[in-house]
Amino acid sequence: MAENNLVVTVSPHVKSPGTTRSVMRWVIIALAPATLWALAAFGTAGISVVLISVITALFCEVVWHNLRTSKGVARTWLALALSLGVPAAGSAVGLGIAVAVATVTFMAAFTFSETALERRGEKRHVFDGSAAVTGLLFALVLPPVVPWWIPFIGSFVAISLGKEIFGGLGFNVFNPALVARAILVLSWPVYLTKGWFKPLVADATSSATPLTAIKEGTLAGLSRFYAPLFLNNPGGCIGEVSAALLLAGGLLLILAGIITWEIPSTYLGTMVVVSLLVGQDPVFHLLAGGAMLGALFMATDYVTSPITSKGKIVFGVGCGLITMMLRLYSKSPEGVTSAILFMNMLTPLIDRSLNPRPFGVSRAAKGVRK
Amino acid sequence: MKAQMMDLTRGVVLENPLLRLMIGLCSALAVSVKVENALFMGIAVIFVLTLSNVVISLIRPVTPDNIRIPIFLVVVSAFVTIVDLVLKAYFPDIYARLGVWIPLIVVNCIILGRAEAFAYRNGLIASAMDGLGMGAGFTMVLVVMGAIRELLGTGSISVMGVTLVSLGSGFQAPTFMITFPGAFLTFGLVMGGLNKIQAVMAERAARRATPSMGKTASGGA
Amino acid sequence: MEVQAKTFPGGVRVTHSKDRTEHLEIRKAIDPRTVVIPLHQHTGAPCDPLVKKGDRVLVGQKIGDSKSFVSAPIHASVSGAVTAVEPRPHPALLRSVMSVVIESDGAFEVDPSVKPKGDLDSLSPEEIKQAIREAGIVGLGGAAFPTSVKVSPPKEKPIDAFLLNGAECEPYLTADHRLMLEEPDLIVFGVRALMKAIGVEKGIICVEDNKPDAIDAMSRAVADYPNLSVAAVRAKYPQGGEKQLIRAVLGREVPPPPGLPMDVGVVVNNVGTAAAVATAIRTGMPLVERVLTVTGSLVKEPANLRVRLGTSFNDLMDQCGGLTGEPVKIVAGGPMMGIAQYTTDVPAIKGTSGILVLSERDTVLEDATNCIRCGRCVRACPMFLQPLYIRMYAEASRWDLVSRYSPANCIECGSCAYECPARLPLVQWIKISKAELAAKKGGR
Repeated sequence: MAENNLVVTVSPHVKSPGTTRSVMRWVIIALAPATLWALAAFGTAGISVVLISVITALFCEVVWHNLRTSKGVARTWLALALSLGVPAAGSAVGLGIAVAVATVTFMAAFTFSETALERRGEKRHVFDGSAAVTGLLFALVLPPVVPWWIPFIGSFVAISLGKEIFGGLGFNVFNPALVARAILVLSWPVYLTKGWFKPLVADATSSATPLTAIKEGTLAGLSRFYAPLFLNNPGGCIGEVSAALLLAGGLLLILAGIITWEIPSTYLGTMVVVSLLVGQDPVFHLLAGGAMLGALFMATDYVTSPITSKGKIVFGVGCGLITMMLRLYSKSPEGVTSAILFMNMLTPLIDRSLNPRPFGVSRAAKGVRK
Repeated sequence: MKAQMMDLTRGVVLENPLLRLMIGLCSALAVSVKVENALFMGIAVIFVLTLSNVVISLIRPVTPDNIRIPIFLVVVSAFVTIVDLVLKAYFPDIYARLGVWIPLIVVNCIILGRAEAFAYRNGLIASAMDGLGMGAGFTMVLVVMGAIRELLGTGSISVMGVTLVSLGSGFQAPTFMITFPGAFLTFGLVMGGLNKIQAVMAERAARRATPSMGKTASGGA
Repeated sequence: MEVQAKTFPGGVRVTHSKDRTEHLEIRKAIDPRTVVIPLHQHTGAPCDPLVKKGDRVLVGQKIGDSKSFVSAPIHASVSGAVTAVEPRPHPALLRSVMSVVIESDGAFEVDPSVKPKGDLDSLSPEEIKQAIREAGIVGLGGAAFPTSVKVSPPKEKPIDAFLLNGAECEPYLTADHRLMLEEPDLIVFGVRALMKAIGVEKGIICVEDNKPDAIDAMSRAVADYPNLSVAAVRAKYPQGGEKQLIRAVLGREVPPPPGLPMDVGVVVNNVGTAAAVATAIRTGMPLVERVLTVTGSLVKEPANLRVRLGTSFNDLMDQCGGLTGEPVKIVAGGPMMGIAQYTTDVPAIKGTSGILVLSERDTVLEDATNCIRCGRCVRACPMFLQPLYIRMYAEASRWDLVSRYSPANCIECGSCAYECPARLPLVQWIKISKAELAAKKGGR
């Protein structure tokens, strides 16, 4: 055979079917039940937050990709200017909703046209679903009743400052959705801690939520909150509506081999242990706030968590400890966001310190560095 | 003459103390909350830096090498005390807002750094130029950061009670910008911006130097 | 007797794709008209030619040898005239290698030196080793390490167990499987010969549990020998790697390079190697042919062929009914560790265990994307390495940091790259790292 089209690569020549895209798809499928249930509960408020967040995330990723690879730079800058300038101008004039709808529609159209162009060209798949996952996760940590520009700006921040500025997928140190949430909580604390659909109040006279009440020590029996927290919690972020559905989604991911058991179980387990030690209700702590969402979907993010089994256990325990410490002893009632971000920061150190034992080196001889 | 011009302009961009030498950051991050604070701090630093550079350069012949740092500190504190008393007397609210950062100018890495690295080894005019340039560069970055943080963090920029810019009452300011994390972020973005500008300028200079190479290989990141 | 299925930590479950050939009896390939026999078909020093253009050679005649200890002689697989001794494409080294080209005269006249070596009881271990060396036998599992060297461990490394590697963990390949079904007694004879040469008492024949018929066949064949047993190992890739086999069956871990199985008292040989040793002793015929599997979705009639060494891939693919489409990859060996060929004008050599003709659907040609630090490569690695870090630092040319992750321990099984969702060429980067660190001499 003088001329042929044989491809020569290094082995292996077969690969398992899982790709980055399929992994992201699984995460979205696992989040779907909880999300849909929440959308049903929150109506247009919830739907708009999720839509705006996801579309903005996709748009932002397209912009970064184009600018980084110098494809269609001019039209990308124009699109970016329009999508940021028009809402700014519109809000100054007081055009609110109309501007919002126009901007979001424009972003969706631009994203679609750019991805369609991309598919016709290269074989390399850039749009692997990771932006969609970030957008969805960010929407889930927002309260449902927020101005439209909260998910809009937050999603921009999540993708730009949480992921792209580090170098893109795989290079970020912190969980992008949580970075955005942290920045937004510092920027507009009122919107992010008060936009509940129907607050889950401690009792009829006070307006404190159960988590704040437990912090102030004004609440004794919390078991009456179990059912609503587990099944249908109207007083929380979009992702906190149904711990049951989140748990189901998390178990699905573990069974599908997408995430491993170490982080969720050690995270939640540590929370149980600590709450028992201080004499507070462990079940309540598991169900309240963002613990379920955080332990199952945020802390388990591949890029920002350790890669070895030992490392993951350390990570999970650390997250649990910090979450409980913040919930018990700090001014804020919620600790999941900061706990996960802090442990994200320690992940490179954990990975550097906890390496697997090399094959053929006995445990006794392991101390000898080569 | 050219060398002296270099001494003056070096500290503004090429060897900007905050963005390139990366010294004196702590006070910069804290003070850049408001343009007003930034301006006054900057002027204070220019004053202290220039004059202490001059004095340290002058007393070189009588400064024993092994105790030079305490001597620098004495010189610098003298000028900082002048600034402190002047601000306290004529601008009490600024003084109150800048608080502990005024006395901390004494140990600001820029002042001590330039004293050790330049004023102690160079002549009078050069040291004065260096002080002015570094101080100007410091002030410039501080004011830019202050403008960004104040505008975005409070919705308007006001100096000495006069509102210079305002984004309107409908603007919901992200208070993140006036916190310390916001300071770090702003600083990083400003540095990134400068890096990008310098990279583009270097690329253009390289392209002009070798026009026969045609299209350069670097098509972006 | 069977033991419960054992396994090792790590590894990946792969689709076996053996269904097209696992039930096909070994058939003799059509004798070739020309053979190209490279003088370097084994790990170790290449051979020098003993013949030149114009010479007449006979089947089993030695045509190349080396004075080096780690080497094995080369023999003619057909009788006829040597038409050339020149560089020719090689399926493993992917460059031209000095080869002896023989035009067959169709007579297949056997060299007079081919004589049975005698009864196993009458041969001393030294004589067996000599016979193995003279027969040019190398590991037929793929690495092609000279067997005479493997069965000559130094006295300071006593051997207490012999493992016969019947795992055949690579997808598509079924040659060893068929050999165990069709010639179990020959294999057992070879095992006993190898064990006598090493001087070891206990022998375990290891077979993956996806081949229950082979487990039965071998169990029956060892029934008369109380010191031989059959162990079933869980079908997981790369169970056939000798370090993984030793770990699974005996629970011992071979130390990192330059560690070898003999350091934990074990010698491992492939099923085909044992059969070749048996043939060499019983009939005196050196290694001039081997069984390989020609398969892949584009092969019209896949087969397990007994092939004369030196037969070109072209001939073999034609004998299997030709191809049903344009091939994307043609791989010598299995799909996990085999070598993709750029031409089919290459000969089957001692280490060629299979010829795979893969279509676009069989193989994966996706470009690499960003590493998402999922850790699947770490979980899959049977040598407990962290391929993602080796790649990350190698790409940045930080060889000082690469050496911290011990790329030298890698057996290049491909489990990491198989699992990687970002389709990163991890094995390629590890190979590059190994070369860089070796070049830096003493880079650990």
